[in-house]
Amino acid sequence: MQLVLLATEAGEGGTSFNPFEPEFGLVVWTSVAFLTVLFLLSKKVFPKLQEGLADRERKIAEEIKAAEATRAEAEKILNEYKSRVAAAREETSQMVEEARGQAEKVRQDLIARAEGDARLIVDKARRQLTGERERILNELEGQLTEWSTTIAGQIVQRELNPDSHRDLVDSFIADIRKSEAAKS
Amino acid sequence: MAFLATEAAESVEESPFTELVGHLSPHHYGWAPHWEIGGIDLSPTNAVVNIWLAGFLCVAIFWMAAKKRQLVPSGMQNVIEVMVDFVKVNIVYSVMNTKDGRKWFPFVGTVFFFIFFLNAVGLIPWIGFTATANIFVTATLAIMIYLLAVVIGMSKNGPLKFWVKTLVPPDIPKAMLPLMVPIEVISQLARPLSLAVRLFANMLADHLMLYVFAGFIFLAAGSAVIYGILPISLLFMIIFTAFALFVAFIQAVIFAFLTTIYINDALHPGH
Amino acid sequence: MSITTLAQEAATGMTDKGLQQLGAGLAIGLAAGGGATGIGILWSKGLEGIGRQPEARSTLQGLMFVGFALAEAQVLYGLIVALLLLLGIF
Repeated sequence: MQLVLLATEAGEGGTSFNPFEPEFGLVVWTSVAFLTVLFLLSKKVFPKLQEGLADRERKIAEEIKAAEATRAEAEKILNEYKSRVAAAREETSQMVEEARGQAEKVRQDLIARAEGDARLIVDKARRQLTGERERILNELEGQLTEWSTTIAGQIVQRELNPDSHRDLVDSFIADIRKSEAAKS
Repeated sequence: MAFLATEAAESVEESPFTELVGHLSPHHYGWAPHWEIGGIDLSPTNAVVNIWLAGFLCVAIFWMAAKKRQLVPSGMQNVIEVMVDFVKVNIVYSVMNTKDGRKWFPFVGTVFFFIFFLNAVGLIPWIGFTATANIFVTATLAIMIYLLAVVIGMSKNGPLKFWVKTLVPPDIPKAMLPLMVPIEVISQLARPLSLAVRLFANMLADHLMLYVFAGFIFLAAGSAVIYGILPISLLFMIIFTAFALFVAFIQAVIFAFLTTIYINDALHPGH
Repeated sequence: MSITTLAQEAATGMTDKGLQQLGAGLAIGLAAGGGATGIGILWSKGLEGIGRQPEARSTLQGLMFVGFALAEAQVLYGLIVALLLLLGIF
């Protein structure tokens, strides 16, 4: 099993192993094949492939730019909406505040007016009352004067004793009571 | 170099390895015509057919991908575009500036895909042979690329300026120059050599490995050991085929990467 | 096989072919050792780097694979020399 065996001629066909055997045919064929492939690939194929790759790159770049623009616009619109909503909210709260203020004013007004009315009514009632009392007092005074003159006349006409005095006073008081009751 | 091994050939008998590993040498098909021009044998050996196949696949796949171009890629176009993008970003633009990169991408791309297809075609079952496992193929490619880089550099910078800038490293005291210039010359000469030998050795080693494991099976044939050897050998062959595919890719990457570096050095010498 | 017989064989049967085989074995063996060391250092440093900076993973991984292939190529130079020796070209 010597590896030197590798160097032997193996039958016909020349399958001896020697990687350094001169093969000038291979030199020619390698150059021809390489140059042909180089020509075909570099003239026909790679420009197209590179063009394709460049196309795609450009396209992707464009798409990205477009997408970015769209996004920016969307953001702008969103911001606008946001500010608008914020403004609306501000306005509403202001309105509510205003309404509250007005309501408060109205309430205050109402209270003030009601208080004024009440005072007026009370005043009027009081005035009426005092007027009535005055009138009653005046009337009573007149009556009293009349009655006292009457009583005095009766007293003068009668004989003066304590019992008659008492009866007189009693009847006088009963008279007053009677007239009072009839009056009320 | 035909003198080699004649001595050994007389003294040893055939073994399975002889037969199998012999497949790694280009050999003539019995049915193929014999073409010869100017003393050079141009007949379609399996290596030549291999090169044709790789070149054809390379062009055909890209042609179709370029022809049926869609804005949103799918299927094969996706694969092609990922690979093109890989070459563009990870190989060309990692070395060159944008202006040079745009100009030289087709060349580097061709180098990458041609070598990758050459390597990969050898891994298709029944072919079992790869043209890049022959040093004359890789050397042709390497020397062509190196000469191209030199020509480009000379025409771009002027011949004298190019060679001075390439061979005389900057910021070096004058006393060191007699030492440094020969080193630079050697490093320049080593470029095509290492480019060729690296690819050749990698592809040769992969296929040699596969054939050695296959050889164990043939060696064990006829004895009871075969039941132990067969599954292990097959397992190793599967593993090494996967590894060979990886190596086929990475070597194409390295070849294209170094090509880019050499061309970039030629465009802007003295960095 | 004892050492004395080995020594005897060495004294009597040392051939050019044997020396070529020895050289081939040494070539690929040393090359593989060096390459393995290199790849080991490469990946250990690379993984350290990824551990320290996980966000640089993809960049580092690509570079690691390139470095791996370059280091592996050195081993294969040894393989070529071994093959040259075995085939008797030198």
